[in-house]
Amino acid sequence: MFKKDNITTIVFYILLITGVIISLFPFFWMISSSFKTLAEISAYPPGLFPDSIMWNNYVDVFDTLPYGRNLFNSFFVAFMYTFFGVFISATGGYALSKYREAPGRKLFFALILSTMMIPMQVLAIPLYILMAQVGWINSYPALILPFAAQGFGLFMLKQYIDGIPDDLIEAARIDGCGEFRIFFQIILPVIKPAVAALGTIYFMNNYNLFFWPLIVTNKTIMYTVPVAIAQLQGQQFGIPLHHIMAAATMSTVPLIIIFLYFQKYIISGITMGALKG
Amino acid sequence: MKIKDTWQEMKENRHFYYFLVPFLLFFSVFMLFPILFSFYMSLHRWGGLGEATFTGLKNYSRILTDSTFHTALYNTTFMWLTSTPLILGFALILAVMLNKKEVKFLKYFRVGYFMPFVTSTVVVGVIFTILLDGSFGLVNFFIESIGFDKIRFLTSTTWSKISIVIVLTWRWVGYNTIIMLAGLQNIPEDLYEAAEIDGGSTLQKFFYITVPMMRPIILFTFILSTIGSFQIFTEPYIMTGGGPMQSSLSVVQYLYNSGFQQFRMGYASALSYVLFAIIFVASYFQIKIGSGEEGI
Repeated sequence: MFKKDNITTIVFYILLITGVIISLFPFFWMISSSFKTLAEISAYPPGLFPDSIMWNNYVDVFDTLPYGRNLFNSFFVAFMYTFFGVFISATGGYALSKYREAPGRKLFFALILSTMMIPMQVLAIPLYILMAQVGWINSYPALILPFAAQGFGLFMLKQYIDGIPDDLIEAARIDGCGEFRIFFQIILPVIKPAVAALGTIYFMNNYNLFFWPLIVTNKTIMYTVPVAIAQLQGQQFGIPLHHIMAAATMSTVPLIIIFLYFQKYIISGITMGALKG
Repeated sequence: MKIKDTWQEMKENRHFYYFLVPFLLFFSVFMLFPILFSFYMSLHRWGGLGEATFTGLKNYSRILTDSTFHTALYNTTFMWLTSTPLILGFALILAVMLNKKEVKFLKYFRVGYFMPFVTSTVVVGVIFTILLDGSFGLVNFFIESIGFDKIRFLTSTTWSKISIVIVLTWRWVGYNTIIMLAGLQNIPEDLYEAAEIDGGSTLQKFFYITVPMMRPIILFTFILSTIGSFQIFTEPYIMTGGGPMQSSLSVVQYLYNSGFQQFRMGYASALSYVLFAIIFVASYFQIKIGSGEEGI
């Protein structure tokens, strides 16, 4: 259609590019603001670029907050959560997919599926009470474990494992391969793309999670990055916008790098659920 | 005999249980138990310390007459019903555009559109707080430069909800575009080729092939948006704090305030159940309506 009509082509690309600019502009604004002084951020009319680059903002964040620790918390928690969550989804998905004769299989599957729609917010109150009872407020287990068993993840990996022919497993059994070895040496390598997809989604979701860490931590050193930033934003007087923007940039850039590196997997993971589910 | 057979089968399939146990353990402790415990809590009055008092269904009947809850429900419904058509409409248009075979730089466009979804909601919230600021925000600079008065996006009761809708739309269009693009790529090419032979126009192809074929995907994204809308918390929490005068208070923030600021744990539990019921009913009807015509 483009060759027929050059104007259509130009309009077409102008629209697409405008969309991309709208998508990306706030990021530019965040980075630009992170190098401005506080006075510059709240100056009117606003300037596109900082007058002079204020590297100090980045240094000062570490004085206002234990931001190194906050970054560590976020990465550590997201990594552990991803590892746990994906692993138990893979073993569970394998069980539900390939042991079709096991009594209770349908019941378990239905039970897990039926809870897929339940949002975390609905569980926050009882989970908070549970965490308080076992003394896990301000602890890593409380940040990592509660949402590791996701019906969505189990379902996604089960679907993928369904596609592996049973013959492959039977052949391994005949060769005398144990059940656990079958899982680790045959199934896991085959489902790597799905594991990578689910893993990146889990990592992103957990790294960006706000509601649960907000509830379950109240010491600054246990905050994850979103809670730390929200705390700066929530200050009554003199909100340090320049520090907030520097902190936001520092937390966003690593995630963008991870996204660019794994984008193929993230996109396949998100569309997998839509096309099969 | 029957029991013995089952036992035998369980033994033969014991690895099923070994593999399922880790998931099931976490699932029971952190999902099933809280669901049940939450219901128990919702029948009590409990301030977080000391004994809980059994109050029966009182918490639920109080929700029915709680005007703050009604406000929060209205706000959330408003955000849901205004943002969802915007998000899905933009996403479908973008996906159709990106699905043209001749599009160059598809990969870069896709990454660009997807970027808002990668960022944490808190970061999105703080960026838009300065972009939409009533006195120095860049958006207001544009509005003023085309000859209008500045808008107090975050501090006026009319605009606070709309500001949240703007942010939601910005964040979720790309995500839904990716899903819809994948759906479009799954539509068999021959359908369009057949239509072309029969002399179908672009618009006809869109309404008679694309839309019906995309129906399940659109339904899927609609349900996701609905569930997501009723979980809105971070955007208003960061940008407006639910104000001014509760004009952007969401159901989840009300739940949060009741539970973790006023420590009305029983009442907040009842709110959780109501929230879940709303999400459940809304998605149920969407599935019903969405699949109704095919008679599934």
